[in-house]
Amino acid sequence: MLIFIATIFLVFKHPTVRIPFTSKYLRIDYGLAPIVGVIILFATLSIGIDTITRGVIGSAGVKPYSVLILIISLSYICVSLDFTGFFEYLSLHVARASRNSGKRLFVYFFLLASFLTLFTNNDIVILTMTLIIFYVCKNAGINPIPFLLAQFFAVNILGMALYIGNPTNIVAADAYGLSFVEFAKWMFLPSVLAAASCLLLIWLVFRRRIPSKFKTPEIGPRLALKNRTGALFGSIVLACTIIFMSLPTSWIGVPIWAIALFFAIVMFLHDVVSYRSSIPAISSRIPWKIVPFLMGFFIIVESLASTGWTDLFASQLSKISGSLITTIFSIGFLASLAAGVMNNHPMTIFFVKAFQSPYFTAHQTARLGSTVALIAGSNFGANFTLMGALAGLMWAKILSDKGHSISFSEFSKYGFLIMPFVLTVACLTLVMELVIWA
Amino acid sequence: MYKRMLLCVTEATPQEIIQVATKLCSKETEVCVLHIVHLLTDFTQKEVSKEFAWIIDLFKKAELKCSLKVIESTDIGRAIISAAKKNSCDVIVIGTIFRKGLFGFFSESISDYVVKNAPCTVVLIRKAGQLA
Repeated sequence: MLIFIATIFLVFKHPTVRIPFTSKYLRIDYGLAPIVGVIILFATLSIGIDTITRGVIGSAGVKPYSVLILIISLSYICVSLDFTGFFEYLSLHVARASRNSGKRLFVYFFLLASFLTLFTNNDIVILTMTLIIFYVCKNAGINPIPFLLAQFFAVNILGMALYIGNPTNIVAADAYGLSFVEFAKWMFLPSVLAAASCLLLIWLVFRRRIPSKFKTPEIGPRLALKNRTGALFGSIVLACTIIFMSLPTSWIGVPIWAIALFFAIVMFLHDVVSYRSSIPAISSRIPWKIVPFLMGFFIIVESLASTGWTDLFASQLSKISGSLITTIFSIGFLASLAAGVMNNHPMTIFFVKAFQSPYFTAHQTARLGSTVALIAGSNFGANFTLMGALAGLMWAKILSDKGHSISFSEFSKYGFLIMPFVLTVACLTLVMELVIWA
Repeated sequence: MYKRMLLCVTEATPQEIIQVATKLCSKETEVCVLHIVHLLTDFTQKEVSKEFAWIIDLFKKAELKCSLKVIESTDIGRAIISAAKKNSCDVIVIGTIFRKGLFGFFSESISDYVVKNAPCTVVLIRKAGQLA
């Protein structure tokens, strides 16, 4: 447990250490920190080869290697599409469509962030849209913070809607055995209603800071498009990936990760033919570090399971999981707050392992309720504190580099003001869905 | 005095840093003003040129050779080091912001990375009283 806590600390702190007897430095970033944790556990004989093997190959539904292939394949498709300038092009179109209305701009940016997150990942939406929001706000003389907060909140709420929206969705859904369509059946409506309530609340909070009129800067969206054919091809590949992933596995006969891998290879071959020199640039944008990050945490949590920590946690969870409504609300809020403290990835892996414990004695519907509440918590937790997701720190750093700092406490002030209500809306919708459909 | 200077700038770079950089230059110094973006398109190139025109003007007023370079990268620290090596720079000038609180404790410092990995002299400048 100490190694688990220390690893989470290193993930956030990412210290630089000097390699002894050399002048070289090693940065223990979020990719390396869990591996350091695994090495320490192995060196101290706390875990053996069998635990590492179980952590890599998986057990009871979760197959870490397939989760990672899926995440990297989807990331490649999205990164390649982003590289064509397509998302920047869309954002500029949306900014132009607001036609001098600050209120319209605020709503349009929220909706665009929500829409893009449905089909891509939150890192890409944050990196692309933050730049455009800064550009539009600076030229119009508007404070960008309300727009940026709205964008960040939207990204983390709508990330819950589809199986591919967040890596934590894949981990939790695979553990329970939810398919792409089943996932959307349970999560789409709660995330849409949560997004609507978030938009309403965030509007109420910031309404006085959003001007009704502003001068739209001269915008030429076409200037943002690097490769028109590539953007078209990438959009088609992304659409095909989502469509094929949503088909039942029995129809296609291959697992969902194989579909994503196939389309990523198609995209890669297209990129090789279209712009060979840019392949290293595209490759450098793929979040490769998520591979050792997740793999390391799978192994560390596997070791926690073998020493009884997840069983202990599972028995405590069983106590609060009485009725369906208390299960969903308690796990939804607990997961959100836990994600806010320890990051959503390790939190999800730890909770999933606890749900698989024999000491978690919830009935079948409550088990499904726990899984969907965990998915909600792992996504929404990122809006409570900047530590809730890796994207949070990246987002805050971009803001700081652009001269608009937001502190942990300021972010959490808005998070705790808005998100409890939003999470309540999502949990209530989940309860109603489970009562009607389960 | 330095022959080739790499001056790293962001939208948060204050005028004081540029003034200190000009003082480090002689008439022979070639200054490369570097800005790193997530995605380099015609749109970003145009916007960045507009954004940092004031820096180029300051150097021109001081009668120094200066050019703006926009690089596309998602790893800013590494991009700065590789630009310094590629242009055979003998000094990197970079600003730093002292970050308070938990954000300061957990946020990654690019200037720290540059100091530890640069192949040449690094001049780190903090504007008095600049806090984030």
